[in-house]
Parts: sequence; C-alpha cells; structure tokens
Amino acid sequence: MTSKRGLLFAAAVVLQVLLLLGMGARHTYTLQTGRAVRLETAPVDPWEIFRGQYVALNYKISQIQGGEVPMIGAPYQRGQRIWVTLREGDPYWVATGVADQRPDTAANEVAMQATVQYWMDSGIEGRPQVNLRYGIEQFFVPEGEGPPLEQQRLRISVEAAVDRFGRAAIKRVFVDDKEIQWR
Amino acid sequence: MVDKDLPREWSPLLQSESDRWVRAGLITAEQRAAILKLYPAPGAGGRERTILIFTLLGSLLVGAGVILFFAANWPVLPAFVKVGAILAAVVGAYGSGYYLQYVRGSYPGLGHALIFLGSLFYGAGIWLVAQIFHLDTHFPAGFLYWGLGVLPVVAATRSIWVLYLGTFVLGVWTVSEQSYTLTYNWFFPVLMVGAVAPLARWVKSALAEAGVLFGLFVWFMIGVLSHLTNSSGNPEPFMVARMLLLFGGAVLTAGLARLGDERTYFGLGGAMALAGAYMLTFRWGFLGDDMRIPSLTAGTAFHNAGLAVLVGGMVAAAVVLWRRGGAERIGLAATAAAPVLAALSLQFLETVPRMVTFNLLLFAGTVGWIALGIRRRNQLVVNLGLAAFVVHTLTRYFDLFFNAMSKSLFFVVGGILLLGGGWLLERNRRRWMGEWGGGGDDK
Repeated sequence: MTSKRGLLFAAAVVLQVLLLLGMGARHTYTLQTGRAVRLETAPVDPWEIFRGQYVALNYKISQIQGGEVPMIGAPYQRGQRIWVTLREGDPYWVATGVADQRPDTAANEVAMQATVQYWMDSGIEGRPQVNLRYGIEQFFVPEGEGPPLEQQRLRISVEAAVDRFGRAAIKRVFVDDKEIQWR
Repeated sequence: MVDKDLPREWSPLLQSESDRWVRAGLITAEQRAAILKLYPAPGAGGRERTILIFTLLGSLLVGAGVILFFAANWPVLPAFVKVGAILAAVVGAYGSGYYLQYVRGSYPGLGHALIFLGSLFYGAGIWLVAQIFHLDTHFPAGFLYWGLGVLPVVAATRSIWVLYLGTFVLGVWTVSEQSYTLTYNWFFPVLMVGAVAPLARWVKSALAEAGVLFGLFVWFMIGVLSHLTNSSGNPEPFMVARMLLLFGGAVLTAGLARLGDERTYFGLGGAMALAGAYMLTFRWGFLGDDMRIPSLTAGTAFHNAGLAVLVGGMVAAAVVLWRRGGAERIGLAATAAAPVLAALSLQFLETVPRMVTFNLLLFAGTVGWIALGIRRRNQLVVNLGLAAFVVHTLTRYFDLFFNAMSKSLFFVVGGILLLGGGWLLERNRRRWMGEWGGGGDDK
C-alpha cells in the first residue's frame, strides 16, 4: 500500500519537476537552435514601460497595418495564433506578411508565431490593423536597475532567436546599439 | 498493528474508556490489556522524538540561511543555479513531508504541512522560472500548470489542503483565461467534472466539492457576460441574480435528492439562491430605472445551452427525489422550486413591485432555509440562514432609516437592535443545537 502510494507520489513530484524544467528547456532550445533576428522596439509611454521589475517591450512589428503588409485569412480573432513573416533588414528585420497558416519562407526570412491581441477594421488612416504579441514582450531586470534605463529613453532593440517552430525568445537587449548586461 | 494516523487524543481516551468498559462488565481486564497493547501510549519514543525536533529545527535554520543566501545573490546567480535552487526547494519540501507523514509516520501533521508547502513552492517556481528565462507567454497558463501539477499529489496523499489549493488555482486560471481571451475555456468544466470533483468525493471534502460547483457557476457566468449581445441597457445584475436563483435551486434540489453531501448542497444552494434574491431587492438606480430585464432566453446559445443543462439536471434530481418518496417530499421539493419560480417571474415585474416581491421572498426564503436546517439538523445551514437574516435586516434598516433619522439616533437604535436581535438569535441557535445533542451532523 505504502509503496504504491510512494510510487504515485514520486510520479507526481517528477511531473512537477519536468513541467518546471520543460519551461526552461523549451526556452533554451529556442535560444540554442533559433535564428537570430534583430527587432526594433516602438516608443512606449514612459509611465507604462516599467511595471515592477521588468521592461515592457513594444515592437514595431507588434502593430501591423493592412495595405502595407498582405494579410492572409484576415480578419483575425482575439487570441488567434497566426504567423508573421519577417525579412532580414539592416539592421532590423521587418514584417512582410501575416497569415493564419504557416507560410513558406525564403532564405532571408523567418516565420514567427504571434497571438492576436485585437483586430481593428479601421485603424490608422482607415486601414485595418492587427495588434500582436510574440511572447517576448517582457524582460526582467534586477530590482532597482530599471529606472536608469527608463530615464535614458533611448533606442531599445532586441535580438531574438526564432526556432523552427516559429517560437521566439529574447537573446540580447541593446540600448543605442550597446548590449546591456546586468551582471 | 498501530495506525500511525491516529490523533494524539486517542491513547488517553482509549485508556479511560476501556477502564469504564471493564467496570461496566463489557470486557475483561485481560481483554483491555490486549487492546491497549495494540496502541502504545505516545511518549514511548520520546527521546527519539526530541532528537527529531532538534534535527528539524536545525534543518529549518539551515534552510532559512540557504534561502537568505539565494535571495541576496539572486540577480548574479547563473540560470541553472536558480532553477536548481527552485527544484531543490520543491523536491525537499515534498520529500521531507512524505517521509514525516508516511515513512516515519511520527509527525503526520507536519508532514502534511510540508507537502502543502511543496505545492506552494511548485507554484512559485512556475513564476520564477518564467522570470529567469524572460518568458512572456500566455500568463493564465501558469495557473493551469500549477493546478494540473498538484492534482496528482492529491491522488497520492489525499491531502485536502492541496486539493483546496488546486481547486482555487484552477478557478483563478479560468477567470483570467476567460477574461483575457474572451473564450469559453471548455477545458475548465472538463477538468472540474472529470478530475477535481472525483478527487473531492474521494477525499470526502465537502468544501472542495462546493468549490467545484461554485467554480462551474463562475465559469458559466463569465462565459455568459463576456458574450452578451443584446442591447437592453445593463442587464448584468439581473442575469447574475437570476442565474444565482436557478443554480441555487438546482444545487438545493440535488441536495434534497441526496445526489451529494446534503450539508454542502443545502449550504451552497441556499446561499446562492438567497444571494440572487438579495441582489433583486435593490433598485440598481445607477444603471437606470427604466432598464429592461432581459428575457430568460435573451442570452447567447451558450447561455441557453447552460440553462437547458441546469433545467435538465433539476428535473432529473426532482425525479430521483420523487421516487424516493417520504411524507416530507412535497415540502422539500417546494423549497427547491421556490428560487426557480422566483427566477422565472423576474421579467414580469417592474422596479418597485420587483423590490417588494423579492424582499418578501428573501424573508420567506431565509425562514424556510433555517427551518430546513433545523429539520435536517444541519448546523451550517442554520448558521448561514441566521447570517443571511441579519444581513437582510441591516440592509433594510440602512435603506429605510439612514436619511430619516438623526445619525446618532440611527446608530444607537441600530446597535440596540443588533445586540437584542443577536442575543435572541444566539439563544435560539443554542437551543436547537442543544436539542440535537451537540452540533447536528457537522463533520
């Protein structure tokens, strides 16, 4: 009886450990195998940029306008998982297409998964607009180290890794093209 | 064979009671000695226990030191060390808890507490790992992983605390998931009905079962309110109140049909129905007096499907109740039917008649609920009923007299009423409890 309970208990604990390790492993896999893309962040309200101990990042590719970029399968629903094609640029990668299915990509492109935040039929200048999240919108910083970055309010860019499943992870953060290190 | 889960009071109680049995001639002194031999008095391993206490204290001190070290150096530690520290905390708490509760068996309470602590560490670990790796994925998923992770621990240890935690965390998950994505989150009812409810029945936790029922209600209401498509003003208070009445009626019916723990189902069902009636005693003037009460089927297909399931469940429970027979079945069925009829009548009432009707219904329902509790010797229902009566009386006292009396007189009279009323209610409550021989069917 006890051994059966012990086995079940051990299995439960192992499941939890695997879940925790899995979270880190998935991220590490993306960082190790993913293709590096440099992304430009968009200006954000300075009162919004820091919430607690993380930097809230808003990318240029977080809002995509219809007309500028072809949108296959639009309009999209809130929470829908879609794909954004990024093309290599100098220095920043730019969005060249949005689709509800995984698109084919050229050698200088990657396809990145995104979740629809909201869809507007009539956004800026009356064009449709989709707002997206890529899962790389937060960067945790040591307590008390955020304000100096906020005060700088300079050009912040991010080097992200995009793996073959289209998942992204933050690799490095740059302020005015200088990588920031917190340790 | 000694059962190590026996409470400490067991041994002295057995000693005194078995002595009484010998004196009463029920058992012989030899038989008493043989029985007592099976249950050695605690303290036999006293020295060993003292050593264990010192060991535990030492472990706690070392643990506190390690935690402080990690906290002070957290930003500069490499990711793998941080993850290792989290895993060590989780496995350490679980391992020591299991050892104390089941392997050694000498400190089941402390062991249980450590297992619960392990479940908390695991939940904290999810957020810490997300922080370490800058994960910004779908945040409600963290609660889902937490809930899913701790349910197997309940299956292994029958821990009621961990079950409470899992039920609560999964509730937080569906609230955040549904609010964030505006989806119906169908996995939640599947998980509640398929996993949490059976676990609650298995560990005999009436509170967890009530949590499941309430969680399903919250899930349903968020699904309804986040997909409202009609344009009849702000119908939310009325839809919530009406669904509270219907859901409460359904739970009461299930309790009457003894499809679940009667104490829980009477308590939860009555409380929800009365809460619904209480909401309808207000004017809701800030939303506009002329707002229309939506018809019963004015919601989305999801709302109407939920309603159909609710009515179907009630009819099934009523059939079970009817077949069970008994002289009191009609009166009991009326207790369950009252909130349903109240919910159905809602849309035909204008503001003032509605307020008057539901004040009367609330009063009658509270009295009926307390009567049901007395009849079935259900202490929880009696206590909740008395509390509902006090809340209702206080609300109306404030409504009617706050502006009509001078403030000093208002509070003095209110205080005297409270003291006098409280004394009367408590005296009656004690009389009922006394008649039941101490506490009714409380578990």
